[in-house]
Amino acid sequence: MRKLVGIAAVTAVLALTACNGSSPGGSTAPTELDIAAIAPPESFSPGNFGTGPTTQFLQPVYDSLFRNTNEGEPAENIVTKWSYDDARTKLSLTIREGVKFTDGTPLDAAAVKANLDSARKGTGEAGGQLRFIQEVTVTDATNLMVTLSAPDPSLVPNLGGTAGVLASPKALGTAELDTTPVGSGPYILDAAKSQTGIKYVYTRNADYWNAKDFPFDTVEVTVFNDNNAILNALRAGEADFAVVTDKDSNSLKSAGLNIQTSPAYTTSGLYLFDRKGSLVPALAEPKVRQAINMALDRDAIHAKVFGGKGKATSQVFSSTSDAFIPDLDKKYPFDVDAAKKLLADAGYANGFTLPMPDVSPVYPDQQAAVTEALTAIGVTPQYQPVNGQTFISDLLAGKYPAAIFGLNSPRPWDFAQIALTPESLWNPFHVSDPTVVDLINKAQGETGDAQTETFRQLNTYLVEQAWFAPYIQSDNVFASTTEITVTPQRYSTLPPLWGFTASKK
Amino acid sequence: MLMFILRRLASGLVLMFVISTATFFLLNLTGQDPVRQVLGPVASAEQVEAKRQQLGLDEPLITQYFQWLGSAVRGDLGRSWFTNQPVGELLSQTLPPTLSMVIGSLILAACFGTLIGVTAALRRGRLDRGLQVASTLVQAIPGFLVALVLALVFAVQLRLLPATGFTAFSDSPGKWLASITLPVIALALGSLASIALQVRGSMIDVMQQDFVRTLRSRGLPERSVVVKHALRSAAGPSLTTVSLMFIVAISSSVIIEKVFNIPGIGTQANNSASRGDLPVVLGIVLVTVVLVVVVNLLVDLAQGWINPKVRVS
Repeated sequence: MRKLVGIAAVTAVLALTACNGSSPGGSTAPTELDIAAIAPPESFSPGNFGTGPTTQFLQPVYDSLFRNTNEGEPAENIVTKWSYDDARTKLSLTIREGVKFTDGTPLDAAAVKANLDSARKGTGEAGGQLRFIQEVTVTDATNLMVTLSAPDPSLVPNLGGTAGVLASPKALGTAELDTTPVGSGPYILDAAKSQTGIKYVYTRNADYWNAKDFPFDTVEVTVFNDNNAILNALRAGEADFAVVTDKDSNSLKSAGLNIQTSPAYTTSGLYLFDRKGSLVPALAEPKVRQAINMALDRDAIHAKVFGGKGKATSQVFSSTSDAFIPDLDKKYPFDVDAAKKLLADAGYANGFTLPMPDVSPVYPDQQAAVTEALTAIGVTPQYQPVNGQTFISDLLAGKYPAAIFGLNSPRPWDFAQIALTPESLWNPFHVSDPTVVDLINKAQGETGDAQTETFRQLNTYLVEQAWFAPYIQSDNVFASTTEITVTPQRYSTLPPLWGFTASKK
Repeated sequence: MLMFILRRLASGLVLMFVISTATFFLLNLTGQDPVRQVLGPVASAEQVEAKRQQLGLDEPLITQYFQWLGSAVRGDLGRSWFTNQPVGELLSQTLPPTLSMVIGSLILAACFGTLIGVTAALRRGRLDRGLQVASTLVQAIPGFLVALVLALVFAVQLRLLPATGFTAFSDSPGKWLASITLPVIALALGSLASIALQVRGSMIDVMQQDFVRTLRSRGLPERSVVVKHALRSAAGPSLTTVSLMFIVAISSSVIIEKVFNIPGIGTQANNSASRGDLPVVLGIVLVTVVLVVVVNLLVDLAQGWINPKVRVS
């Protein structure tokens, strides 16, 4: 007992006198970067991983064909020159000369072809991004041609992400590559100090061609299983960077950490999948979908459910993209009476029942807000119990006409591919609207301003037709020590490795 | 003696078989779709099908079971569905942290528990009552709470010890000790209190027995009476407690590992089970069964060594 009283007393004293964890004096720049991650990488084999958190594990060891700028525009990296033909189905690439993989294999055009051919057969999201590639032809040691089955506006920027990473051709296809990467990147995975799925220690690749962009001698990415452990690691100075929850950001700030927010490129809302009314005929009626949009008090949801972080909106396209139109958000002001009138006009004055998956274990506040909104206009949500392991498959199989959900929405083209075409995975009822299909096909062959204009038309149409009932485009909250400066990148949920630099003192 | 050991090992094998079979079918009965879990929400139907074939999940369940069993008997536990890491390698990474914690905490608990128990039993009076109350209280405090407080005070505020992570003994014995100190204390406190109460009870019983009086009347020094004779006689029940504590410690280590982000077998079991990584879960189940069987066997042998009466049975 005495011991416990002692511990309690010590804690109290320390809490009162805590000196905000000031870093020990000294002006030397940090040489090690410690990143806290929340999930291990799926694989190190090109094509077999996703495009999100895995990036943190891939960027130290792999070069990508392109490197996207902070604005998300592709720029040179391993590829030094590139151009499309007029039909935008032939992409010629020129490769940087003299780069070698860490096993000594030269990174030439043949190596790039081997990677693209292997990655597009991959089972991960990154592999899926290469689905328009029909053939890769090597012209000479530094030149190659990528032939597409149809134009893909996102291909080049995607090749600047995880879809474009390059592994040694000697390692491609081996089971070892899943856990032990062999690349040409700025760092080498130190297998002796690393543990698969747990901790990844990267040390400098002495022969790297562009070392100046990577100021740290060592990069450590550790997988955490517990939020509280992440907070302790940040406060104890054991981690330099982590994505944290909004509610923890204040206590971390007072502990002397830098807090910054960046778009999470996720649109949360009520996804009205059954737009043709297969399960719930009412949802086929645009007025019903518009009524649902007007029943949502987006500002209240923004303030109360999302703590004021992110952006309240009725658009699915990212607010950072040029397809986003601020004025469109005025289309559905919160107005229960007007919503009820729309329902009555559509012939549903007495409302209807809307079966949905019960996501209250994960998103209790969102579900409460949606329930309140729907009930106010006479629509009765009928929540059905969900098995966490089959939730995604059930949604994709069209088991639910609508769901509270958040879908990745980086570039407009990417979202269109994921959710808008009749064949899209996240169009589970395969709704085919000629206007939507035409606009997507039009944008596919366009570039620049013409393409932006088409996406704006598509966005306007989606909002007017109320294809979705989005409410928030959420933010990620980054916590970092004052020793480092973190620069995010547009269309990426996490900052790229070259976005981490030592703070100027 | 040899027969006894062989019999125990044979029953251990049966236990391994039964438990792993049950785990295999129970995990398959949950109706989950591990392939979708592996590939995430945006993988296409073709990608899912390709992965399903690659993992052999398109085969009938019974075929999958015999394939797994066949490889397992040959010592090949397969690869993780999620990271493609060989399960054997994964176990060799996650066992040392957990065993360091569990064995460390048991040694700590046994030493200090016995010391406190014996002191209480011999001194009695106010000290005894105080120790009893303290032990009961400590038993009532959940280990994770102790872990959280320890981490906050000694790692975050004082920065004396690491807040998270584990260093292997082979990398640096000093750092290894530092990395397990707080987890071991958090894990040990509960067992320490239980062992103290257990030892106290047995010691009081033994000290009142006739043979102790006889030993004393023969003029043996008190120290020898207590350490050589009474403690030996009282140790039996405490050893059984320790073996039970071992099993409890393995399961409590899950939460302690979480608090200190120690990459142990508990965390691994938890993660793998929740995402349906069957090969890893089965591997962990097998190893846990082996540990329990071996510890029980060792405790039985130790009982025989300490107390000749047990050897007859």
